[in-house]
Amino acid sequence: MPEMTKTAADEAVAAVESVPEQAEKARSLWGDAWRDLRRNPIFYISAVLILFLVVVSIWPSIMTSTSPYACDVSKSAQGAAPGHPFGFDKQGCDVYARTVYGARASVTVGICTTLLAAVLGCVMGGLAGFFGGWWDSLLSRIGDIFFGIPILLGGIVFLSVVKGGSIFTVVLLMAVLGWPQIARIARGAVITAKQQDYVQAARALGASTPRMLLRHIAPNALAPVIVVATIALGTYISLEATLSFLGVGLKPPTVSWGIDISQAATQIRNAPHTLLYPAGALSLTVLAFIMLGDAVRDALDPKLR
Amino acid sequence: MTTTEKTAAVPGPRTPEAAGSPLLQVRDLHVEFHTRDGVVKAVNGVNYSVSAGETLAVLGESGSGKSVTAQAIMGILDMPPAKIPQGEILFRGQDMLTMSGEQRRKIRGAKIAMIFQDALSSLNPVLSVGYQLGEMFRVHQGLSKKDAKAKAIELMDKVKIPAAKSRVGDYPHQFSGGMRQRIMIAMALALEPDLIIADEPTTALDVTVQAQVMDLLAELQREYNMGLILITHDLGVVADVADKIAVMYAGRIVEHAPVGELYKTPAHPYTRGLLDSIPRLDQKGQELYAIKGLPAAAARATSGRRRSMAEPVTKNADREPILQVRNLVKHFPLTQGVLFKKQVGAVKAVDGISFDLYRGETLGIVGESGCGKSTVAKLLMNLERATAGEVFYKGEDITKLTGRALKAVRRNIQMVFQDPYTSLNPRMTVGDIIGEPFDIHPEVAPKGDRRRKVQELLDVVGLNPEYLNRYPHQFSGGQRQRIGIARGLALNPEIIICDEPVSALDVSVQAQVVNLMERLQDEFELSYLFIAHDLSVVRHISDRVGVMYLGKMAEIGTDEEIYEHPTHPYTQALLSAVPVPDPEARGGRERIILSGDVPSPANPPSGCRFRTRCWKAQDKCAEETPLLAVPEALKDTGSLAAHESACHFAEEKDVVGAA
Repeated sequence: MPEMTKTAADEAVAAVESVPEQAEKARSLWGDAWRDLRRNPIFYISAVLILFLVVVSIWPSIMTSTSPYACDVSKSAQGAAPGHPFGFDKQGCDVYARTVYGARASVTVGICTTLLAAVLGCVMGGLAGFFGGWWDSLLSRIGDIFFGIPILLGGIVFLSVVKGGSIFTVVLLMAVLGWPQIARIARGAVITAKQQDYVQAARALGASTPRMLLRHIAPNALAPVIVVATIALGTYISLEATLSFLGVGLKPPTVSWGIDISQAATQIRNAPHTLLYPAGALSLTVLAFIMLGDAVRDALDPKLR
Repeated sequence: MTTTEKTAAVPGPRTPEAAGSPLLQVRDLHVEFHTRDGVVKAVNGVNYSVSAGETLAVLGESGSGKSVTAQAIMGILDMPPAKIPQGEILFRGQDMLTMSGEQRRKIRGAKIAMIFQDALSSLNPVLSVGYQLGEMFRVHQGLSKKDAKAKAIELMDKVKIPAAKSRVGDYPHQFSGGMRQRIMIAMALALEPDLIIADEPTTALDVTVQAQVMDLLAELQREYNMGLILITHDLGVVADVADKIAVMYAGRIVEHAPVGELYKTPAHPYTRGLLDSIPRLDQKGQELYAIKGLPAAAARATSGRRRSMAEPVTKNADREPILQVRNLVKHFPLTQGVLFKKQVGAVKAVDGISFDLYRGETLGIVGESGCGKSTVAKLLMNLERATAGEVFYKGEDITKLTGRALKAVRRNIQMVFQDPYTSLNPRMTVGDIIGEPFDIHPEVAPKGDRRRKVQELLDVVGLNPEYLNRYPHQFSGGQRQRIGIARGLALNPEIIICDEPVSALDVSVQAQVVNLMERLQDEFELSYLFIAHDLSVVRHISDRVGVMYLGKMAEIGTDEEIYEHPTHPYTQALLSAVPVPDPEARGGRERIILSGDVPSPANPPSGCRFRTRCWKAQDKCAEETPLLAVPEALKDTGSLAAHESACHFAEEKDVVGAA
């Protein structure tokens, strides 16, 4: 009899062991998200657009042979002409060339500021939300201090002191003033996730703090942060324009959409095309990132599959 | 063929519309929901009727279509996505589905009123209760503000809210759950309707409060001679108050019978299954009947061994307890101020609790919400730090452990959570969830072995081992709870602490999970600490039972002692308040209906904590805190060594009416 039970048990074990070969590979959230993304047309559209923008930022010369600095005042605010599909701005510079060359500064400012602010915001907000108590009070008050500084006032004071004008200083300034917004969202999302029973269950198993934060809380708190960050990206690009308009942001010779938009804004009645093209490029960029953000957020939610 | 079609189209036999004609008739009602994923037929040809002064109970589990039918009667279905392709709803002979919107509005609220389950979200939090009650009279009857307020007070008196005059200006959050439900009843009564539809009116309430509210509802129904449609999943509540019962399953009425008949001779197999699947307060021992809703899983669950009735419970005497709890205390500080927080008091959630848990036994802890039973679970798991007291596991105090030592203890004490919808990370696959214990304790299973172990665990809890790559939302509530149990079992613990493990599940699924837990206990020699508010479930699964009230243990003893010879007045009241799903059994029972609500644990009464609601209370109770001890009156009976009660006037009383 013992022999028989043994064979039966062996068979059972063998049956269970043979299952993995038939079944698909073990899946994870990120792997599944990637598979989901690859089936999503929105992801492809936004990814191609962003890739295109990045390529143009790095090598603007492949899109145009005209220099953005070759300006002829006699052609001020004229419409489209052969070889100059977008026409000329007030200074008589080629709008197409300026739009192409402006991508570098604008896309860099947008992406870098968003990344920096998101990382800073997630860390500060996440820690405040997770540890609560003293940490929460301290980090939240620090955030409030930065939140309270009007971004234009802060920009004028800071940038005139450091004698900036480089992309780096503008990115730094906007990230420093922009992170509290993301920190607040992240803090709220972390507090919500922290109270869920599955975090308690992980604690009951003896999980370490980093494990709880990274494996249980972060994936569940990420969605609102992604949404806010992608929307903020557009705001940062236009904010750079405002700072440039006030003369404390990027300085010419740097070409940026922001500078062009603020200059063209005064010309909207007699030369709308000078505003239309850089503004259109900005909208397209923002749209691409928002679409990417949405696609990633949906891919990270197993319930939507 | 044509003849069959014809008979199918004819609605049920028409009752003569004479003097005793029904108030409301639902005839062949169909409701569909048109969603992106297709058409969901929620109600498929429902027929029922209610007359004045009659109570119809509509019984069914979640998703059976019982609430959708009620919403269709009230005309509060969202259309679209809902559609009513067929059927009639006759109110005093008039079809409400063909009426104009204006006519319908006149009936809704004034002639047919509804009481919802969740009183807190049904009341506007920023308006005073008096204003909201008065609004009915101002809008419908055009009374002045002053008269409306007077009417509101009158109504609050009617539903027995103490000190109505002084409380009329209070806001909803200042009332307890039971009081809020009374206010909802008052609102429904305001315009003296002919028919009240109560959708799970007492589901969110504790048993002692549930008894008060059901009594009130029945009394008012008699007084106003109203029709009452009571929608519920609780077979016990129904047995006490209903005249007729309609059992719904998958959008159809599977059985419709007078109450006595239904309980005595259930005709439909589903009804029979439902009655057999609930644990009874007055019976013990047999395995619960599990309805095979999810074939594979349920089939496994029922294959468990029968719990032997003869197993002596006194076996504990010669054994060492595996877990010893001594004077456990948890106070949550109440603070004031934003920056410089100052402690102004404490919520005494757990205030000196002691008990032992023996190897292989199940200790049930029961009590109403706010009694501190869940806090006890968290303290034992070290999810909260105890304010004072000790918990000894194998002779070692685990309340002060940290780091590695704590992690080692956690391997042996695991937990199953109440809500299977929040206790599993929605963004992890089932394989990762059940495998996580091995990630945290890699010494338990070598890496290559984990997948097989996880599949074994899935098999043990009655799930298909190939479900590894699914996400939690793809499972039903009962299946999710099985996943939670598998995770708890992964590390091969000795003790599992179950915090209301089945209270979020439907009765038939409850039975499956309870059976599974009993089978696992035998298989793995587990000790359970089973925390629940449902006294019937606790009786079914426990060897010993502790009754908690306001952070203290009121009574503790073997399951038989507590249920058949309760000595503490609170235990007696609690037991007598539980509705027994058998209309014949209720005749012989004495019901003790407690007045008032549980006092706040931030400011508990002096002396005996139960004295404010106790009918035996005397001066001594306020001055002297009764200790948990074998009651004086019972000492000479000898067999009661395993029965302690914290009452100065402990005295036995049979309230269950057990055979």
